[in-house]
Amino acid sequence: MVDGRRFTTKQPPILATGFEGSGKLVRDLFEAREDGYPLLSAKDESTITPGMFLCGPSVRHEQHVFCFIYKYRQRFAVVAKAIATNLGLPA
Amino acid sequence: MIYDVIVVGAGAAGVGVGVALKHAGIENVVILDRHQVGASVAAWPAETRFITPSFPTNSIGMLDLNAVAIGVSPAFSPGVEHPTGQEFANHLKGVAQFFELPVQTGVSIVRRIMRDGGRWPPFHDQATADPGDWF
Repeated sequence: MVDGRRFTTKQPPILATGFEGSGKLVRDLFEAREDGYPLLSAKDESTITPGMFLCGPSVRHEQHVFCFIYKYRQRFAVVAKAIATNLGLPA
Repeated sequence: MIYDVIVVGAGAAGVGVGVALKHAGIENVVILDRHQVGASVAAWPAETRFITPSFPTNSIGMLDLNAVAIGVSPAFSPGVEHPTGQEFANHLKGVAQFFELPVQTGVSIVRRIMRDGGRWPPFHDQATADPGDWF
Protein backbone atom coordinates (compact mmCIF):
# COMPACT_ATOMS: atom_id res chain seq x y z
CA MET A 1 0.00 0.00 0.00
CA VAL A 2 1.10 3.58 -0.48
CA ASP A 3 1.34 3.99 3.30
CA GLY A 4 3.77 1.10 3.52
CA ARG A 5 1.35 -1.50 4.89
CA ARG A 6 1.62 -4.95 3.40
CA PHE A 7 -1.19 -7.50 3.00
CA THR A 8 -0.14 -11.07 2.32
CA THR A 9 -2.10 -14.13 1.23
CA LYS A 10 -1.20 -17.55 -0.12
CA GLN A 11 -4.06 -17.31 -2.62
CA PRO A 12 -4.15 -14.99 -5.60
CA PRO A 13 -6.14 -11.92 -4.55
CA ILE A 14 -9.72 -11.66 -5.75
CA LEU A 15 -10.22 -8.70 -8.03
CA ALA A 16 -13.57 -7.15 -7.19
CA THR A 17 -13.11 -3.61 -8.41
CA GLY A 18 -15.55 -3.87 -11.30
CA PHE A 19 -15.14 -2.91 -14.92
CA GLU A 20 -15.00 0.57 -16.32
CA GLY A 21 -16.47 1.01 -19.76
CA SER A 22 -15.34 3.51 -22.35
CA GLY A 23 -18.78 4.98 -22.85
CA LYS A 24 -17.81 8.15 -21.06
CA LEU A 25 -15.84 9.09 -24.15
CA VAL A 26 -19.10 9.62 -26.02
CA ARG A 27 -21.37 10.69 -23.21
CA ASP A 28 -21.92 14.06 -24.83
CA LEU A 29 -23.58 12.30 -27.76
CA PHE A 30 -26.33 10.74 -25.69
CA GLU A 31 -28.98 11.99 -23.34
CA ALA A 32 -28.69 10.40 -19.92
CA ARG A 33 -31.34 8.36 -18.19
CA GLU A 34 -32.17 9.05 -14.57
CA ASP A 35 -29.71 6.30 -13.58
CA GLY A 36 -26.98 7.91 -15.67
CA TYR A 37 -26.96 5.30 -18.43
CA PRO A 38 -27.47 6.51 -21.99
CA LEU A 39 -31.00 7.09 -23.19
CA LEU A 40 -31.59 5.10 -26.38
CA SER A 41 -34.34 4.86 -28.95
CA ALA A 42 -36.12 1.55 -29.45
CA LYS A 43 -33.43 0.82 -32.06
CA ASP A 44 -30.54 1.67 -29.71
CA GLU A 45 -29.87 4.96 -31.45
CA SER A 46 -28.94 8.15 -29.64
CA THR A 47 -31.90 10.47 -29.18
CA ILE A 48 -29.75 13.54 -29.88
CA THR A 49 -27.16 12.26 -32.38
CA PRO A 50 -28.88 10.62 -35.34
CA GLY A 51 -26.87 7.74 -36.77
CA MET A 52 -25.01 7.05 -33.54
CA PHE A 53 -25.95 3.61 -32.23
CA LEU A 54 -24.75 2.01 -29.01
CA CYS A 55 -23.85 -1.67 -28.70
CA GLY A 56 -22.54 -3.44 -25.64
CA PRO A 57 -23.04 -3.85 -21.92
CA SER A 58 -24.15 -0.26 -21.29
CA VAL A 59 -27.39 -0.75 -23.20
CA ARG A 60 -30.42 -0.40 -20.98
CA HIS A 61 -34.09 -0.15 -21.83
CA GLU A 62 -36.45 0.77 -19.01
CA GLN A 63 -35.68 -1.84 -16.34
CA HIS A 64 -33.89 -4.22 -18.70
CA VAL A 65 -30.10 -4.40 -18.33
CA PHE A 66 -28.14 -5.88 -21.24
CA CYS A 67 -24.91 -6.30 -19.33
CA PHE A 68 -23.68 -9.78 -20.32
CA ILE A 69 -22.78 -10.93 -23.81
CA TYR A 70 -25.79 -13.24 -23.93
CA LYS A 71 -27.96 -10.19 -23.17
CA TYR A 72 -26.50 -7.43 -25.30
CA ARG A 73 -25.92 -9.65 -28.32
CA GLN A 74 -29.71 -9.75 -28.67
CA ARG A 75 -29.54 -6.11 -29.75
CA PHE A 76 -26.98 -6.53 -32.58
CA ALA A 77 -29.63 -7.56 -35.08
CA VAL A 78 -31.86 -4.65 -34.03
CA VAL A 79 -29.05 -2.19 -34.81
CA ALA A 80 -28.10 -3.97 -38.04
CA LYS A 81 -31.69 -3.93 -39.23
CA ALA A 82 -32.12 -0.24 -38.40
CA ILE A 83 -28.96 0.66 -40.34
CA ALA A 84 -29.89 -1.60 -43.26
CA THR A 85 -33.29 0.05 -43.44
CA ASN A 86 -31.66 3.51 -43.35
CA LEU A 87 -29.49 2.40 -46.29
CA GLY A 88 -32.50 1.16 -48.22
CA LEU A 89 -31.53 -2.49 -47.97
CA PRO A 90 -34.10 -5.22 -47.38
CA ALA A 91 -33.55 -6.64 -43.92
CA MET B 1 -13.13 6.57 -48.29
CA ILE B 2 -16.70 7.13 -47.17
CA TYR B 3 -18.19 4.24 -45.23
CA ASP B 4 -21.83 3.43 -44.69
CA VAL B 5 -21.01 2.27 -41.17
CA ILE B 6 -18.04 2.79 -38.88
CA VAL B 7 -17.92 0.51 -35.86
CA VAL B 8 -15.75 1.93 -33.10
CA GLY B 9 -14.14 -0.83 -31.08
CA ALA B 10 -13.32 -4.42 -32.02
CA GLY B 11 -14.23 -6.13 -28.78
CA ALA B 12 -17.14 -8.46 -28.12
CA ALA B 13 -19.71 -5.83 -29.10
CA GLY B 14 -17.85 -4.50 -32.13
CA VAL B 15 -17.09 -7.93 -33.55
CA GLY B 16 -20.58 -9.17 -32.76
CA VAL B 17 -22.39 -6.27 -34.40
CA GLY B 18 -19.90 -6.49 -37.26
CA VAL B 19 -21.12 -10.01 -38.00
CA ALA B 20 -24.73 -8.83 -37.69
CA LEU B 21 -24.09 -6.02 -40.18
CA LYS B 22 -22.57 -8.50 -42.60
CA HIS B 23 -25.55 -10.82 -42.25
CA ALA B 24 -27.83 -7.83 -42.93
CA GLY B 25 -26.08 -7.33 -46.27
CA ILE B 26 -24.25 -4.16 -45.28
CA GLU B 27 -20.85 -4.31 -46.95
CA ASN B 28 -19.33 -0.84 -46.87
CA VAL B 29 -18.23 -1.13 -43.25
CA VAL B 30 -15.04 -0.61 -41.29
CA ILE B 31 -14.37 -1.69 -37.72
CA LEU B 32 -11.75 0.41 -35.98
CA ASP B 33 -9.79 -0.38 -32.85
CA ARG B 34 -7.19 1.67 -31.07
CA HIS B 35 -5.17 -1.45 -30.27
CA GLN B 36 -6.28 -4.79 -31.67
CA VAL B 37 -9.22 -7.17 -31.68
CA GLY B 38 -10.20 -7.96 -28.11
CA ALA B 39 -7.52 -5.74 -26.59
CA SER B 40 -9.56 -4.78 -23.53
CA VAL B 41 -10.28 -8.35 -22.46
CA ALA B 42 -6.73 -9.38 -23.39
CA ALA B 43 -5.56 -6.89 -20.77
CA TRP B 44 -7.46 -8.63 -17.98
CA PRO B 45 -5.33 -10.12 -15.20
CA ALA B 46 -4.30 -13.63 -16.15
CA GLU B 47 -6.41 -15.08 -13.32
CA THR B 48 -9.63 -13.37 -14.42
CA ARG B 49 -12.11 -15.59 -16.19
CA PHE B 50 -15.62 -15.33 -17.56
CA ILE B 51 -18.34 -15.95 -15.00
CA THR B 52 -20.82 -17.11 -17.63
CA PRO B 53 -19.89 -20.63 -18.77
CA SER B 54 -19.31 -21.62 -22.38
CA PHE B 55 -20.82 -24.98 -23.30
CA PRO B 56 -20.70 -26.59 -26.76
CA THR B 57 -24.48 -26.49 -27.07
CA ASN B 58 -24.75 -24.65 -30.38
CA SER B 59 -25.31 -27.95 -32.20
CA ILE B 60 -28.51 -28.57 -30.25
CA GLY B 61 -29.82 -25.08 -30.87
CA MET B 62 -28.74 -23.45 -27.63
CA LEU B 63 -26.29 -20.68 -28.43
CA ASP B 64 -23.22 -20.57 -26.20
CA LEU B 65 -23.77 -17.87 -23.58
CA ASN B 66 -20.51 -16.21 -24.58
CA ALA B 67 -21.08 -16.35 -28.33
CA VAL B 68 -21.09 -12.95 -30.04
CA ALA B 69 -22.63 -14.35 -33.22
CA ILE B 70 -24.76 -17.25 -34.37
CA GLY B 71 -22.68 -20.42 -34.61
CA VAL B 72 -19.54 -19.32 -32.78
CA SER B 73 -18.57 -20.66 -29.38
CA PRO B 74 -15.59 -20.30 -27.05
CA ALA B 75 -16.48 -23.80 -25.85
CA PHE B 76 -15.65 -25.06 -29.33
CA SER B 77 -12.69 -22.79 -29.98
CA PRO B 78 -10.58 -22.38 -27.87
CA GLY B 79 -12.51 -25.13 -26.10
CA VAL B 80 -12.81 -23.71 -22.59
CA GLU B 81 -15.71 -23.35 -20.19
CA HIS B 82 -14.61 -20.15 -18.47
CA PRO B 83 -12.32 -18.26 -20.88
CA THR B 84 -9.57 -16.00 -19.65
CA GLY B 85 -9.41 -12.58 -21.23
CA GLN B 86 -6.57 -13.66 -23.51
CA GLU B 87 -8.44 -16.78 -24.57
CA PHE B 88 -11.53 -14.77 -25.37
CA ALA B 89 -9.50 -12.16 -27.26
CA ASN B 90 -8.01 -14.96 -29.36
CA HIS B 91 -11.51 -16.30 -29.91
CA LEU B 92 -12.70 -12.88 -31.10
CA LYS B 93 -9.77 -12.69 -33.50
CA GLY B 94 -10.80 -16.05 -34.90
CA VAL B 95 -14.40 -14.87 -35.31
CA ALA B 96 -13.26 -11.70 -37.08
CA GLN B 97 -11.08 -13.73 -39.44
CA PHE B 98 -13.70 -16.38 -40.11
CA PHE B 99 -16.32 -13.78 -41.06
CA GLU B 100 -13.68 -11.71 -42.86
CA LEU B 101 -14.63 -8.62 -40.91
CA PRO B 102 -13.05 -5.39 -42.19
CA VAL B 103 -11.10 -4.60 -39.04
CA GLN B 104 -8.42 -1.92 -38.97
CA THR B 105 -6.31 -1.97 -35.83
CA GLY B 106 -3.99 0.60 -34.36
CA VAL B 107 -6.43 3.36 -35.27
CA SER B 108 -7.09 6.03 -32.65
CA ILE B 109 -10.04 8.29 -33.29
CA VAL B 110 -9.11 11.78 -32.22
CA ARG B 111 -11.96 13.84 -33.57
CA ARG B 112 -15.46 13.40 -34.86
CA ILE B 113 -16.63 15.82 -37.49
CA MET B 114 -20.31 16.25 -38.17
CA ARG B 115 -21.70 15.96 -41.67
CA ASP B 116 -22.49 19.68 -41.81
CA GLY B 117 -18.89 20.55 -41.05
CA GLY B 118 -19.42 21.30 -37.38
CA ARG B 119 -17.22 19.71 -34.78
CA TRP B 120 -18.01 17.49 -31.90
CA PRO B 121 -15.62 17.63 -28.97
CA PRO B 122 -12.44 15.58 -29.32
CA PHE B 123 -13.07 11.89 -28.78
CA HIS B 124 -10.56 11.58 -25.98
CA ASP B 125 -11.20 14.92 -24.34
CA GLN B 126 -10.60 14.16 -20.70
CA ALA B 127 -11.97 17.56 -19.74
CA THR B 128 -15.43 16.53 -20.93
CA ALA B 129 -15.05 12.90 -19.96
CA ASP B 130 -16.42 12.97 -16.46
CA PRO B 131 -14.60 10.30 -14.45
CA GLY B 132 -17.86 9.59 -12.65
CA ASP B 133 -19.51 6.22 -12.79
CA TRP B 134 -21.40 6.64 -16.03
CA PHE B 135 -21.17 3.74 -18.44
